[in-house]
Amino acid sequence: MSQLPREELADILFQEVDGYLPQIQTNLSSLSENMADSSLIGETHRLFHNIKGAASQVGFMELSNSARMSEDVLNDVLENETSLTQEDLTFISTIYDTISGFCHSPDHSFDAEAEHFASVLAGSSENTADGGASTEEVREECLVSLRSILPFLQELAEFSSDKTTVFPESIFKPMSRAISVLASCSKTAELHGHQQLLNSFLLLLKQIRASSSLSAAEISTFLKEVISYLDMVFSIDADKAEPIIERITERFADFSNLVATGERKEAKEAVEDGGTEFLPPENNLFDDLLVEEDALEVPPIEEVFFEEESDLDSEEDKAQELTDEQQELAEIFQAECEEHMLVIDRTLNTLESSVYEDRRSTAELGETLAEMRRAVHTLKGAAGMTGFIDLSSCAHGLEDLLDWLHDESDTVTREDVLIIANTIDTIDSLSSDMSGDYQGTVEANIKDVSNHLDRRKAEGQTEQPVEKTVVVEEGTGERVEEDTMVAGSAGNVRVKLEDLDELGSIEGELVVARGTIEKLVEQLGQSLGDLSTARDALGRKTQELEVGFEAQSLYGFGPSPATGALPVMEETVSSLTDFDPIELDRYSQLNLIIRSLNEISIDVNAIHSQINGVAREIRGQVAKQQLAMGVMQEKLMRIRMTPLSSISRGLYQTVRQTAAKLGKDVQLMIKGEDVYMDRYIWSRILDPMMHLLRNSIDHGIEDAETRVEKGKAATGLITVNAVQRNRFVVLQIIDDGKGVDIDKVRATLIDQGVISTSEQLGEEELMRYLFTPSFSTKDDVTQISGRGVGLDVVQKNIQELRGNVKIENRPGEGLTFELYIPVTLSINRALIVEVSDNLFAVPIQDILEVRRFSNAELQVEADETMQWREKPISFIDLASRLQLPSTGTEEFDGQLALLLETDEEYHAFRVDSIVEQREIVIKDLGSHLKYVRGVNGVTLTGDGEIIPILNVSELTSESPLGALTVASQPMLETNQDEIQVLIVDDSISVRYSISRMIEGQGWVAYQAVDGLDALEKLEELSPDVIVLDIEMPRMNGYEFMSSLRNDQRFSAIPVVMLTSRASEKHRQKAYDLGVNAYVTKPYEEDDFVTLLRSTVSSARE
Amino acid sequence: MSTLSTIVLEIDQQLDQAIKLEGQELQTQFQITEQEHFRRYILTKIGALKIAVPIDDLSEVSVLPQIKHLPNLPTWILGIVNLREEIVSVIDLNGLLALDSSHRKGERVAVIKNDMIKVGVVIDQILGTVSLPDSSIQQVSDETTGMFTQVLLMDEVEYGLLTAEMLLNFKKLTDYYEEH
Repeated sequence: MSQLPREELADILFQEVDGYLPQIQTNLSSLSENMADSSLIGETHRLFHNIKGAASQVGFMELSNSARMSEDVLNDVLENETSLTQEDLTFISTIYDTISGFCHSPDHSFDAEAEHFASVLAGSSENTADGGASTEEVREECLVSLRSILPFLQELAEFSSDKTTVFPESIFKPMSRAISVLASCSKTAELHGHQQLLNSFLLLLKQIRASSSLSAAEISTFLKEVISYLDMVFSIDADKAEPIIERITERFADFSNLVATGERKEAKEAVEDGGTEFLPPENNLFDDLLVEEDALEVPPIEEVFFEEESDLDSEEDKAQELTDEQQELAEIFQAECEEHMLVIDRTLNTLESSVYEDRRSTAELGETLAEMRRAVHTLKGAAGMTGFIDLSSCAHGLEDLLDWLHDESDTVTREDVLIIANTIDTIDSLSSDMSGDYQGTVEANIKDVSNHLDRRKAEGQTEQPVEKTVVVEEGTGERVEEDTMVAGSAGNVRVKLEDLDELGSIEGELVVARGTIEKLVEQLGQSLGDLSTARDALGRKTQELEVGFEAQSLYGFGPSPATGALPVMEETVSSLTDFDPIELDRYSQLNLIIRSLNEISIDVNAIHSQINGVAREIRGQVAKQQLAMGVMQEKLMRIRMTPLSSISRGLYQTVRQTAAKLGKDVQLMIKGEDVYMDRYIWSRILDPMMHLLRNSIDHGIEDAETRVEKGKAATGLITVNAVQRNRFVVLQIIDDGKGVDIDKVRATLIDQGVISTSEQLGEEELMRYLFTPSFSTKDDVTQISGRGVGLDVVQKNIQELRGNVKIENRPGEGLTFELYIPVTLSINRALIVEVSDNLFAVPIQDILEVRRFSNAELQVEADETMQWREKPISFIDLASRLQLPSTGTEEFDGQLALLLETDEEYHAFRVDSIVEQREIVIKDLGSHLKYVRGVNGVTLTGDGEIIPILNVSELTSESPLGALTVASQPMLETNQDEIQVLIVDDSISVRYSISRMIEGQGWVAYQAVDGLDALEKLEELSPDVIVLDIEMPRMNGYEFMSSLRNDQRFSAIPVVMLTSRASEKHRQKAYDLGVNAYVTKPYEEDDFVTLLRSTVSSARE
Repeated sequence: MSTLSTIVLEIDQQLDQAIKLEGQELQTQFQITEQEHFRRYILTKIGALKIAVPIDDLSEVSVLPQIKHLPNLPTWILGIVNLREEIVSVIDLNGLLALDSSHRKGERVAVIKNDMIKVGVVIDQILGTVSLPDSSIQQVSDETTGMFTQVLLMDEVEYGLLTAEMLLNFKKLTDYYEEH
């Protein structure tokens, strides 16, 4: 409307109207004397017109309407050139009074307005009925009013995002007002149907407002729908609108029911979900019939409007885009479908695997059929309710067939299963792609099913009807009620996967946080240890002091004996009066100090044990937390896991379709359907598996004739076998086809110039080439497997899951693919190891043993092959596998190594040191690096450092194509840049400030507290430069210099002397001993860094 | 019933007209902005390369955290970094494009993203940000690298345009592990 607030606008309006009123009054009184004065009539008309316009502008619709009514009357008089009747005049006067009264009333709210004008407007129809405004005009006005509601609706729609169920007053008020205006307009225009419709809409609005069972989203959807229908109703001829109005009114009634029973319905829906889920298979379809009826009693609003929609649709373009609401509904329905499809899939799998030839019905088979029928039935109902007619009719056809098979037929044929499977495929594609056009498929399918059913029935009649074997169990009805009762506490909750992921990552963060606490506790333990040492030292010193003092006093105070106990001593001392009092006083003071020192020592003791207790407690709590988190993590992982059976239908479908396309007869058998893996992994694995199955059917399985010739069964058999082996799920795809012709592979490779004729490659090596991109034995290319997905892609997909593919070829007998998929947990225990100054994590379950190999052990086998527990073991320097510079292979006490087993081979990975064992949270390598050979992921420490997690099985095998020397370049480069500095100074603050400066350069700093310490450090380190102080305890700088320069190993290391001694004497002495530079404190940081750099680089040259 | 669709159509047309009348002013404004659609770019220097990256394609530019090297990667993938708990790979653009990459690596990283991938590119220097109309983009042929087929001309200096679309669909980048 306007930017001004309503109050201000209203003020302006009423000032304006107030300006017109006196003139109107004058005019009216003149008119009562001369009712034919057209100029007066004209002026009055104009004044009312102004009021009408102004009022409607500010939103006072009632005021505007009443002014309009006067205007209309006067307009008629003017147009017809007649004079006013007394009746007209009274009417206009009434309106004038009302307007004037409202103008001067203090309350200008809309409510007051409505109240004020109600009587006038109610009486309006009689006055204006005789052709006040034409129907057309009223309708136009109605439309304008209607559209003015749209912004309110928009507002309401925005409210819906808050998920609040409150129907806000700010929307309800103006909306009902607008609708009541519309209703009065309709009445004026004699559109009684419209008026009624609007009135019931108004009623419904009030009801919605009073009820709390609907969400704002539902309300807004509903309102939008209604408005769009009203829009339509007001835009067509009144007589044509009638039927539509009737239908909308009906919908209102339905909706009203829904609102009234909203809560009841919700409860029932929950029952429906829980109920069907928990029914044991032997329960019969009566159960869901019951549920079904319940659900149907109260049709949800979606149904109402979707039926409407589909009516319209049938006359319009079928491929019209789904509206947002439909989309939303489709999503909800899809989620429901998924659930039912799970059951249907499972039962279909059972059928597929048990009915490989025509067979008689058994009780078991009957149960499977009943279970499938129940799911199909529920699906049908849901589809019907939500308006997915195609799906519903498809399911209906299938249900008929299942009914017959279950209730009447005594055999189940392979063809039955095929027909069922096909229909389920159609249903599946319908449910997964709601907007697609499947009408042709659906019709064909329904026809197929009914034809098949007729045919089978005809067959059946010739046979003896057999007693039905499956009997409805007694008391099923009661059981439904039981289920209904427990649904609240034992039902299922559907959770979004991303919510679950979020939970998982929160858990991860908790684990990291706990890891930090664990570290802190460890530190606390160390500090406690230090404290304990200090405490002991304190105790000892106190004692020493005490004894020393006693001895001293004995020595100094002559023959007077000291008994040892302090109070006695004091007494003794105080009795020696011939000593200087000051001296005496001082000694007794010392005595007191010694005593209090003793006490402090005891206090420290107590505090120490107290802290120790707390630390123990914390450790216990942390351990408890660790346990609980482990359980929680396991549970979380479990929730995400689904069994193989969740994808097996896709596999059956692939085999069926591919076999049909190629005209081959192939049977798929799936074993280990209860092997569980993460949903994500299954989804990633489905494509490669389908590809391998297609491959097997296309390239492996021979046609029936050939097979029979070779003495195989005419029907080819592909077995998918899932087993869990340690940390891997192994998926075997075994076919009994012809296998791979190795000679052909060799020939093709030679043809393509990949290998030369002279190369003598073993079978295994040749098979590896199957996985190279664009490899194909030429005459094998067909439409089926020529889809651009090659075995290389299969391998890539599996690799991205950190898995492995293996092939076992049995020429003439078949081919086996083995997919090894690691069952990685998102949280894991790992050993953190250090290799060439880099930290890496190795999952604990990969490690057999950590062991230090003695030099003797290492030297037995010169070619780095050794024995370990009488098994051959290869000794690998991990640094070289990680393209890191190898460090210190000449340790005195042998080599530290991790012992690992991969593929029944034993390996020892040499590492520099083991840092710790701890829990790690596995993160991937980012969105770009999907796969890095040898690295499974990374983990972050509490302070954000990245630690790569190693994939040891990949690291044990030498890189397939070697040539990784290039990759090691950046490491060398940084290594050259990096300077290692040993700082030798007894002052801790000097050491730390220099260290910080050096680390700030990206270099590495080591510290030693004196010359002796530095010499010890040098046994392990080889610094590029040493920063040396002169005055230090134990061994000073000069002494250190001379021993350094005398040791051949270290003589080349440059030394920069950093001291506060500025005298020439000191300097000369230093240079004599061979220091490379002499710097006096204080120094300039930059200059010092430059000096270090130049010293190192000149030394390197 | 058969006339319903035509009625709906009519209403739509009427509505359209109304919108056209009312929204004319708005629309013309919109058209102007569309004609001179400005995009903001950040101008950077990476070794000898001068590059403009649309700001919309950037997720952030920050100080390069310590890079963690990983084994078995081509040299131009410098490693990964931890940007606020998110792992992002960091590349040397010169190396990726097989240009001379011996210069000292910069200390900043520009993270280029699309819906799927985030990749950090080490940059030496940020030269500034500019807002330029699309018309200032010139098509050129880049035979050396194949990457910079579009350039921006600023004060007679050419900046190669590096968009997320170009970089993140660059075959060598995505198929990095086929390199060895």
